[in-house]
Amino acid sequence: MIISIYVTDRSNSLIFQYLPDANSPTFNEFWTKIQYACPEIINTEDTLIDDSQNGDNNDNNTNENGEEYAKYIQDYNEIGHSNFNIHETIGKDLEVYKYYSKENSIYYWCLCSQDIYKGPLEPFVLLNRLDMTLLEYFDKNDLSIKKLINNSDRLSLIFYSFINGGEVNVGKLFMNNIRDNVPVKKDLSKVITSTAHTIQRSIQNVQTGGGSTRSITSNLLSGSNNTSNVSISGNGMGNNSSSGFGNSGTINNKVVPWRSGNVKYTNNEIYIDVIEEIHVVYQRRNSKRYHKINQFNRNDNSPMKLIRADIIGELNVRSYLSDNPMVEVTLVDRNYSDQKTGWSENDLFKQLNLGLPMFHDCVEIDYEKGINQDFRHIKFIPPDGKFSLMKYNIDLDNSISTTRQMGLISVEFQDGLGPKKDEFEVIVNIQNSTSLTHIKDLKVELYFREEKPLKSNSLIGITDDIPEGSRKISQVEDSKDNAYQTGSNDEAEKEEEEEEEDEEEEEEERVRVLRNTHGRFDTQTDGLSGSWIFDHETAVGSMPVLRGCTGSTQLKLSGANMTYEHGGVSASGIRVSSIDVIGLGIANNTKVFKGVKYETVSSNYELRV
Amino acid sequence: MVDHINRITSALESARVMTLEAAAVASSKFGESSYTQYSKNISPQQLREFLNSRYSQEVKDGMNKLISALVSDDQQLDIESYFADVIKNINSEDLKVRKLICIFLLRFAERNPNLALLCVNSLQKTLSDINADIRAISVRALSDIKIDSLHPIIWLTLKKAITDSSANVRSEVAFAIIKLNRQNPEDFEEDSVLLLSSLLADSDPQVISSTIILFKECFMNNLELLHSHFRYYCEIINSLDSFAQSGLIDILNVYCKKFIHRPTITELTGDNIQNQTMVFPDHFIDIPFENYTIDYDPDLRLFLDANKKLLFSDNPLVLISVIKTHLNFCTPIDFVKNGLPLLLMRSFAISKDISVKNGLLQIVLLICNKNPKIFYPFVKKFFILRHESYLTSSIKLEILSKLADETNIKSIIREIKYYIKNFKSVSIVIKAIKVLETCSQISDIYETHILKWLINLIEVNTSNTDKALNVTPVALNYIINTVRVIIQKQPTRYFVDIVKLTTLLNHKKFNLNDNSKANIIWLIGEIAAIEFKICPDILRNLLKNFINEGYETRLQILILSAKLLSYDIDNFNKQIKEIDVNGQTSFYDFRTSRINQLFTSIIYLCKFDKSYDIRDRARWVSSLFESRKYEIATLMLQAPKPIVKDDDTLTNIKVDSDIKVYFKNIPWSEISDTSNDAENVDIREPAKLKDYSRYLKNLSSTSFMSKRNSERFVIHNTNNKADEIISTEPVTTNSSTQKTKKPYKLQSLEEFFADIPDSSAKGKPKKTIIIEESSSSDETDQDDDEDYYEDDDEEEEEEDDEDEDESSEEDDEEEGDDDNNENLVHNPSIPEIRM
Repeated sequence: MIISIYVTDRSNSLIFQYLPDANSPTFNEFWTKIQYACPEIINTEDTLIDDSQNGDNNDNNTNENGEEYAKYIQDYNEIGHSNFNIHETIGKDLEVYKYYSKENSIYYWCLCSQDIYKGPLEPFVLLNRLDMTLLEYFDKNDLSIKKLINNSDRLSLIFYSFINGGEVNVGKLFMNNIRDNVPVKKDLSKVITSTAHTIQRSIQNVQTGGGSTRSITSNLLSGSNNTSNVSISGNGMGNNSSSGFGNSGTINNKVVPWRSGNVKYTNNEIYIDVIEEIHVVYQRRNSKRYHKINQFNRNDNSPMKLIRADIIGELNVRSYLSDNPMVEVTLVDRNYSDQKTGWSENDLFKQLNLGLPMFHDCVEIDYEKGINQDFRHIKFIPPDGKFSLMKYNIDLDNSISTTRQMGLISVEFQDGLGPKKDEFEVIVNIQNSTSLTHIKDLKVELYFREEKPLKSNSLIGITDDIPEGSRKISQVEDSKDNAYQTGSNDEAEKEEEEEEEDEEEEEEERVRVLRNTHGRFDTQTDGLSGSWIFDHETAVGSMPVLRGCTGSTQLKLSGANMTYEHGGVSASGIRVSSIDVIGLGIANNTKVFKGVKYETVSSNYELRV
Repeated sequence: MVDHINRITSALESARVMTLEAAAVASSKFGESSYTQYSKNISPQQLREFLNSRYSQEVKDGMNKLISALVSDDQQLDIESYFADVIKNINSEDLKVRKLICIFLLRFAERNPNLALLCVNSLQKTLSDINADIRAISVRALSDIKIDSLHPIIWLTLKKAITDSSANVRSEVAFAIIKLNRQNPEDFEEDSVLLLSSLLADSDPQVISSTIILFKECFMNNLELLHSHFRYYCEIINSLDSFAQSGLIDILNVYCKKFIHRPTITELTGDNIQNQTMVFPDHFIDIPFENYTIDYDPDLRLFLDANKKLLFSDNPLVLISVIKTHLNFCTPIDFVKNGLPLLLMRSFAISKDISVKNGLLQIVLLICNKNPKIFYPFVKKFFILRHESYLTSSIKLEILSKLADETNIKSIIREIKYYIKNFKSVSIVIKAIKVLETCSQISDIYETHILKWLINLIEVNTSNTDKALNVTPVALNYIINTVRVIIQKQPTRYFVDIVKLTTLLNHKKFNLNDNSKANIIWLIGEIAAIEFKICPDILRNLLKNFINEGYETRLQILILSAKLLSYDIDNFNKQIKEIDVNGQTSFYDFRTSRINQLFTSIIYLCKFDKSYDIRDRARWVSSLFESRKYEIATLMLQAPKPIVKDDDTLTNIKVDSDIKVYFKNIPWSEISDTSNDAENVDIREPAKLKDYSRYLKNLSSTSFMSKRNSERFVIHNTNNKADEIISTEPVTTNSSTQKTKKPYKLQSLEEFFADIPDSSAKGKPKKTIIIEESSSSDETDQDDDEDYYEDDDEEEEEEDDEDEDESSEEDDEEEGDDDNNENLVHNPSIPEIRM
């Protein structure tokens, strides 16, 4: 049973609390309790937020390694014991769950009573759903704390609709229900945006020739609202309605739980956004031959070897359709459907490998077929407004299509170039494409690593292995007091550095750019990473090159991570070939405006040297 | 004059204030922030006025203010003191205000029982509102008021509400029972069971969804109530809410273990001669056969098929429940065949929420602990990405260490090496090293390879004294410890590596930590038996810096010296024995022995040690030798050491307790075959459904759900036929054999008739019997029997829509229709009821 839910910001101060019981502790009481009972749960920022590389800074170079290590082990043990500090037990029968919402940068704290039949993760899944619902309800990509505070009454009502008697209010979590129960407020800003939306759409209509069945609308208004030309009966809880209770109850046209009965639009529209995320890791092949001979040869002998790859995709639908229409979406694979010859319908289907997708509850599934579904045709009665129709994960590790390039962009490295063998070159190859003109926010992060030459055969004697430098220092140390030991170390180091610098005639070991065709290059303060940041838009078909110098043969390029975004095509080649709307109520020949948008995001395009 | 001006200015001032206020109110209509600002400025006194205002907008503003004070933990406002003012508005026309009051009641009703009772009457009135949503809200609000004296009234309300035509209201009843049950479950046990059986037999998926939550919460000890619904639920599971789906699977898991026969496994041998059979073991990995078939009870098969319907759900909870079912009832082959590992991995990949992601990974880990083979094809998915959180990374590494085997070890080792060299996070690197150690256990070849690589890493990081290390000192120390653990298993084999380690001891540039140093020194003590020669020199070098070492190192130096002395004496004695066969006893010469000199100097240093322990041990060790009890020294110092199990707490991930408990094996309860089979009774004979949709005025004919239902209906039909074959006499035997069942079933039907609004409540004894019979004749008359199944005949519905105004009339007609149908036995009783 859920006893209470608290929403806090990242510094743990209260934004909102939902106390559905006389015995629910207030936030102050709750906080005092967990500070006493399980203080570890409070500071788990590092473990929850997705960036391990920057998260832990405790590897400072103190000389007290021993103590540090002991302390470290102690910390470590604590982490190990306490279930990562996102779920703790307080007292005999209370549990507290901590949930972090990435989009809104807020924490949810859920206090539950223990229950042996409760599914694991249930509070997390519920809070996740709640968080998504809030975003959808307010029609935002992220919610500011101010927004949450301003709408505390609505928030209360939404929480009230979600939780009934301490349990999940099953069957009523769909957005239509929330909207019916908590009517969306129309304020001035909404009126303005919706007007803007109408104008923009009418412009688009002119451009595309008015509602052709397949038109790619490149910029659908993201924050658009449908209030201007839409009247949803059943949200008549505004100030003016004297009955105050809408009509949804009396005239029950509800055929599916996720769609309210009498939805009416003057303009019928349905939009599908295909959003794909590329996660890929490449490793440069060891042999140097590869990148000498096959520098730009894009065939199987690519210098990069695929370590792991997958594509995570999502079909987001925004539907503003009247009544209870049935929609059928047909998907094809662009890579194969474009080559018209040689592929039969059946082949196309075989090539469309979506793994095992997740579907929204509204999708009709042929249960007879089990996991061998036909994913080409997706039939559903859409919920009103925004929803995620399907999510899929294409696993490319085990697929045979090694020739298929991951997305439009590929990166290659070369290092050990130049007279001093300390130069490197990064080549970004952006394929040309007819569907889009530019890549957005391209950025290549480069990581460097200081590498000491490994001794090829270091299994020989012991004494010989001790380097001269340290022997020298040991003599110095013997004569000195121990307290000055570290000082002498530094001195020695400095000496050595100077030697090196003399040899290489460099001022400092720092990555420098020699030649750069696009964008700019920023070096981090630690000198071990830098980012090559492109302009907001980079044209397709170009081949930016960065040539840089590390300043030392020991400092080598160790890897790169590329991020970018582009519209127009999906990385996997999935394409929506048709959207059919069946049964639009009154007039069957009602025109439906349909739009498809493709978007590809790469956040984990990792290359290793 | 001045006075006039003053007066005018003050008038203007007040006018200005007034306009500002008006503007604030007006602007509050436009922007949220300004509304909040306006709301903030409402004074406590004003608030009271607002709540008592005639204008709904003011009441609304007042409620908004109160609720925002409540949710923001506002200490300045005594919210509770407004209780009386708030509940006056319970009949507000504005539904939002009414709901806000409900939220208010949740929190404060219990503390102000007398005042709360005031609003009960108003709520009860709205129970008969035309609008179903309002009825539902009233039921919810009533049940949320936790006052004991109110319970009988609420129970009455619920009994009435359970026959409501709206599914919303009926599902609210389910939640109300949860709430009432929490307070005093004993008082109304009978009532709640009665209501529950009605709810269970409901035909609406939404009501069933809520009922499942209720069942899971309150009736897990009364699983027998599910008998007659089991098959129906399995069929309609895909129309339920996803949270209820997960709940239902969990309940049915327990149910199946209790009431359904264990599946049997038959070994498939090529020649078909001696096929071994066994009952399904508690864990599926315990199946001893290579090739086998598994025989399920038809009902269990039905349940498993129902699980398969949910594979595409986007709720992770459903997936987790399905996994649980598979772990409980399926073979590993089915587990893979149904795509569960793939589903688990895809859910993990797709999920954007880190808590859910990690939960799923922990489930993978849990399964891997028992049966890693299932996830072999997914090894690459557990490779860490650069931006993943510490949590995710560490569970992934843990899984990798479980998955490592001959086939994939090469790629794993390569990957782990990359992490160690390139990752900055110490904790990840340490975990990676730990995985490497696990990998080393797979075979000697890899052990050697890994050891060499690690030692090389140590050398590179310590020898070339540069300012930055590839690996941080903490990690390096951990590597040294790992190397020590590997070497200890086979010291002779890795003798050279030990020697290399010893060079680190006197390394001036690189500061080994105390623990690592102690470890190496201890290791030297262990190899003294194999290669004694090099040891004294190492000890000599250690002695130089003894006073500057840490506690553990000093202790180990002391022990090492004692060990060496002991070995030296033993060696000497051996040699003596070989040389002097005469029996002349010559003793170990302490004075000339270099080792003894080292030993005594260490003992001397130890005397002044700041640690009690070291001083104490020094006395103890020296007394061993002073008293010449060399045999004891040998026993104590040269005893072979067991290989230390590394402390698992350091690196082992604890699977969340919730997940552990959830996947705990449910024991099978053995069902005695005789009780059921003797009389050939099918306890899971489906019960009749209660369809309240005919009370509705309006039904959409192009209903998607009704289509779904009609599909279901067909399946249901065929199922009944199958049942028919199995159980020839369902009704009478049923009641005689299943004692628990009889009252339940009768009661439920009684309920059913008693609760037909306005016009029912008579002729109970007759009905009960008759309807039981009709259940056996389902097969023939189901197509016409609109009372029990949702209509699939659309035209007929439409007619109804046009015709009827009030439900009673409609009843009349429907009943009339039914009259034509001779098969329907309960018809004669209806006219009597209606009078």
